[in-house]
Amino acid sequence: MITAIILRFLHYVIALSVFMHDLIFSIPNLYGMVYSKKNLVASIRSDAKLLKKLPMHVGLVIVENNFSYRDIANIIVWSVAMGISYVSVYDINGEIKRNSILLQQQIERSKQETFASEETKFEISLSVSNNKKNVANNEDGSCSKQARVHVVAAEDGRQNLVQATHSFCELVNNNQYLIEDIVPSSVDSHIQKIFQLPDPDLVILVGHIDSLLGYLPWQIRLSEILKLPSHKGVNYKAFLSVMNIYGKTEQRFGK
Amino acid sequence: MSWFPERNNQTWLQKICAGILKAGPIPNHVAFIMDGNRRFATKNSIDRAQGHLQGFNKLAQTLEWCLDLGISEVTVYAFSIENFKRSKDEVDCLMELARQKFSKLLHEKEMIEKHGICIRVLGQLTLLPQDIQETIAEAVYFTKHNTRAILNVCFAYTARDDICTSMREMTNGVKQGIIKQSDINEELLEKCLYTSQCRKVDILIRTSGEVRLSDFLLWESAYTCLAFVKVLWPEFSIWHLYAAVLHYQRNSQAVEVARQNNQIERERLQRESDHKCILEELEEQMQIKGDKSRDTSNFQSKVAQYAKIRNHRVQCFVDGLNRRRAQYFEKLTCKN
Repeated sequence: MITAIILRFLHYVIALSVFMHDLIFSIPNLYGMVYSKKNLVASIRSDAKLLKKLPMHVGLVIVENNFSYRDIANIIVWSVAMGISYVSVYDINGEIKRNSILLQQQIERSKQETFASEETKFEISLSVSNNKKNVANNEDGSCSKQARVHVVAAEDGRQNLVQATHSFCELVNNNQYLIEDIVPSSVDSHIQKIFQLPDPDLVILVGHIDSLLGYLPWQIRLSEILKLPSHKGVNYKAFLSVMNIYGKTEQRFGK
Repeated sequence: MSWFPERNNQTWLQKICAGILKAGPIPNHVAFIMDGNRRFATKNSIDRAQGHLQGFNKLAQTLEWCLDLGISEVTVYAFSIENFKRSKDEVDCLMELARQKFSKLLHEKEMIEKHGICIRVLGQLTLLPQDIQETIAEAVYFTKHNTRAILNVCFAYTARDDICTSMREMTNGVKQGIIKQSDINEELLEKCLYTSQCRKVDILIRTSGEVRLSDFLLWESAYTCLAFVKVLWPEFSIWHLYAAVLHYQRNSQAVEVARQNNQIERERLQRESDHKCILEELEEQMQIKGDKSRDTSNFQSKVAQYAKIRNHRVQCFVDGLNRRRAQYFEKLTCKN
């Protein structure tokens, strides 16, 4: 019994220190909130230039309950401002996917605030898998930067691999495919056709649960998994620090 | 060095800490990506072969710590299919290490029996040299009845290759008429993976500060706690293990809830699939008999009956697959 009490106490201490760490981590960010938002996109771009490498696809895995679409939209817009072409957003219960309209609206708002006069140069289209709802913000083709946001949920993970197996089954039964041809590269092409997304280079796990909870298991083979304590009230500086850590990572690919 | 290093008795502090941790949930199955052997070698100015050897010694020690804590299943990523890309010298060196270690294992049969350890080797073993396949087969065959502790060694393995192998098995099953296409679901895919006999992975620990999965247990780790530790593998200590267990305890409830929700969703999808199959059967009967009305009486009992037949069919398929895999090992041991 004593051991149980000590263990509980130990967990409280750890939880408290994590809480304090997050608090301290966000204090410098409070200053950031005060400074002017003018030329935010210019400062984001110059920050991006300092990074050794930039991901092409960032996966945002939100393992918190209660979402702030405004903050998620901010992270998306900062990513696009940096030059990231694809962002996928995931939550455990598929809530964001069901409410993608809300996210779309907040992306609009955040775009206007962040990009200000340069808004017309960026096009951010939102798609929900198996149900593409492309939102074209500007039709005139003068966009210098296009980005896609893809909202995914648990059914796009393991269940999608099951669906892929069904497809291969049909192809084999129709003699269009040999069983020996079901190899990682062919499964990969099949999945690419569905999502039209490259594999995420960076996954940002947002929240306090240290698990990806079903996010695109096939695609995260080589993804760097970094953490943000929360998306609510997230500040650009916190996002930038994650990108900086990513910029320093090195891949050896098994060699 | 042996698989069973001379037992260092736990210090009193370690015993107390272990006792405290055991008051909370202890993971049943821990997976390790033992990264950092080469960097350790560079750091300490020894050659890579030495680095890998130290890594192996650390593995033997970690297994002992796990057993003391009550962790009864451990999975390690020993050699990836991608590692074949390394220089011939290094690949040969790793193969030689594997050859020596698996051979040594066969000489320590008494200790293995005493500790009740079951060894499984998961991966595309046909890619390995024949003599290593035979040694591995003997180790696996010899230890298969043990149940106290399980060591899964992923050798010539990548998660994507594992998933594809499972897909090929299921597709083959459908082609041969053993199962139907509608029987293919998440549960069946899991039962066809190399890891099908393993319990769910509770925590995945990667050392050396890298923060990616590198094609290890991608399917299984969907609902697993992840722990990325900055220390190099040969420097992994019992305190790092204790910290990982604490980390698991902090996350276990939330992950368990998500896993259960996934299970509920699977059951719902299965019910839907069964309903769809029954309706299709009824349609067919209608067309054959020329009836204009669909016989929907006893729909629920029809569904239950269908589910029973389906389960039996799937079980036969899975049993057949497991028999074939066991026979692969038996055949290799008979050659000796």
